[in-house]
Amino acid sequence: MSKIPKVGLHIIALLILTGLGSFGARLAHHWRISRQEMVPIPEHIDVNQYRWMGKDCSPPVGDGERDHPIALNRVYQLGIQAPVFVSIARINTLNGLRSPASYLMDTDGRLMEGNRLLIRPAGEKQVHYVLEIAQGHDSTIMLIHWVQAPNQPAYADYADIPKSVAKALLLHSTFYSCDIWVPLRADSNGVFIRSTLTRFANDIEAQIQTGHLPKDTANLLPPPGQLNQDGSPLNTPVPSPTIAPIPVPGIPAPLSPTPPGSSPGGTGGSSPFSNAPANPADSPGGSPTGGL
Amino acid sequence: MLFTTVLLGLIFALPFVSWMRRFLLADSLQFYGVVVLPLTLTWVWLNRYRLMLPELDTLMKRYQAGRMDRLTSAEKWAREEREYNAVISLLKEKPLPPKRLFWPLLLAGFFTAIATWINDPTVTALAFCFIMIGLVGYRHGTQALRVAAFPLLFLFLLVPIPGDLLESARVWMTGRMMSLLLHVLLNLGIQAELSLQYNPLTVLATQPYALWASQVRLGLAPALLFLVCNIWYLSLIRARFRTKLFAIACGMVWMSMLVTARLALLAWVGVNDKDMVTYLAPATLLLLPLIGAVGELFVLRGIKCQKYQKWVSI
Repeated sequence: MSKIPKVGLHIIALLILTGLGSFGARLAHHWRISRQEMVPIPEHIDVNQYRWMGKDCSPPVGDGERDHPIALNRVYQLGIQAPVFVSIARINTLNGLRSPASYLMDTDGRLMEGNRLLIRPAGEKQVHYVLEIAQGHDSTIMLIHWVQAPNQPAYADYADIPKSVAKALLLHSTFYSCDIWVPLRADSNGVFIRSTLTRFANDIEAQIQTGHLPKDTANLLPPPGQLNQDGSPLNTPVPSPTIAPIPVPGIPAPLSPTPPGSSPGGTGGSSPFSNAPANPADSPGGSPTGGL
Repeated sequence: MLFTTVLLGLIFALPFVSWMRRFLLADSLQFYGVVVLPLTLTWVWLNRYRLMLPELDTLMKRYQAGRMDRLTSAEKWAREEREYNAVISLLKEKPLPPKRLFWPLLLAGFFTAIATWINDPTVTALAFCFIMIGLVGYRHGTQALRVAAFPLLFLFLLVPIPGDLLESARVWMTGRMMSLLLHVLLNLGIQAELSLQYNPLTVLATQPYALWASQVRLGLAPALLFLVCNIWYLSLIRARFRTKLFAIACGMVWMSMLVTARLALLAWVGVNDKDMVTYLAPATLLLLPLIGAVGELFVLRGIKCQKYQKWVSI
């Protein structure tokens, strides 16, 4: 046997071995991924007595920028308020850890400098979320971003937990990149949106960390099968979502009853839609640091 | 050869799709990745005779060492005869067997399996490049690796760059390009201002027009495509290295001028007719690499850099 066919046989044998190894690795990869269940996101989230109803929606506009990860995408609505979008993506590639502006916005999207707020729970040193404003050529959003492994607290920056990141990328252990955002309008109430986003973040963080919602919200959730057609629990008084919305220019104020403590225009004292400056300590998530 | 190709196809078919998805993302700087594999294969085909006889350089030197004293100076530089002489030598003297390296191929195979498990496009593309290097090194020997250095290194352009790195490069290049555009517009007497983050550039008029970098496609992707094609083409040209570097630098300056001129045109049109920009932007984008190539051919002609390498078979 001449040398060239011998070399050729070696190459073919090695490539077959490589192919088998790759096939096995691919099967193992799929097996590993399919075994991991996505964390369930609550069907509805209650923020200051108002119930935001969620439904599935399409992934963010730039999902390809992070290699189309397995994700739960949901939009929560409350009357005519700007919807709250939630995306919980499981990280398997390096691109999954990209800055949220790159996949939540269009290709011109970027984070607005100087509009960054680090949120940490009261009494903790660890920053849990980062609240930012991102702008693209078509829209501007306010977003909260964090990363989190199951049974662990949230971290605003993945660089703080390199071991978890390495395990997610190399061993494909479960690791989430979470984003909650609201499209901003000219008349948006920043304080209300910030408070809502923080509450959403708290609930979802608790869901990932402990597997269930925080107590106050969980108490509101009825057992399965006891829901009204609109998704609200039976015999549970849920405030009308049209009550005291943020006034939208050109749209007349709704004639529905006004909740106690709020003016018809939605600018009154204790309403969640109030323009009153938020006390950081009152924020469900704790105390924000930084400036926004 | 057929078996090897089929096996490589089976191993890398799925990763290849993920690479292409990265290259074809909207306004991706790495759009050039789409042409890397075809260009590499074309290079290999054009240089097939050279690649078939990697020992030719050594044989030619040995042959010339014995014959140089008998040649006149004119003959010494008769490069066209070299191939003929070397082939004669090859026929007369049996070359040493190539030094084959098995361990790079072995490592590359192992790395490929790990890359498939990690399933990151960047890692799988790296595995593909390593396995190609391993294959050439084992099948044809180390001398062939030297001869095939260009296509093997060129293949690394196929590796998708991690998104954050690419984004940083894009932001930096966008900033430079928008600043240049602002100066051009101001020098042309068109009032404009640039936002703090270099995007958008607003042309001030009775109806201001905001020119967003990605909305009109800045033209960086075609410019990089042009650069990659230019490097590939120059590798086939017989010229000194510094001449080639000069040609590449000229090409980039020429391309920058084209990109800026296009953006200035879009900014001017945008003030008068915004709808027209939506038609004009993609049309001019397609023309960028074509006009760039025509200009580069003139540059190469100017510096007398037009002859192909002796082994190129066109």
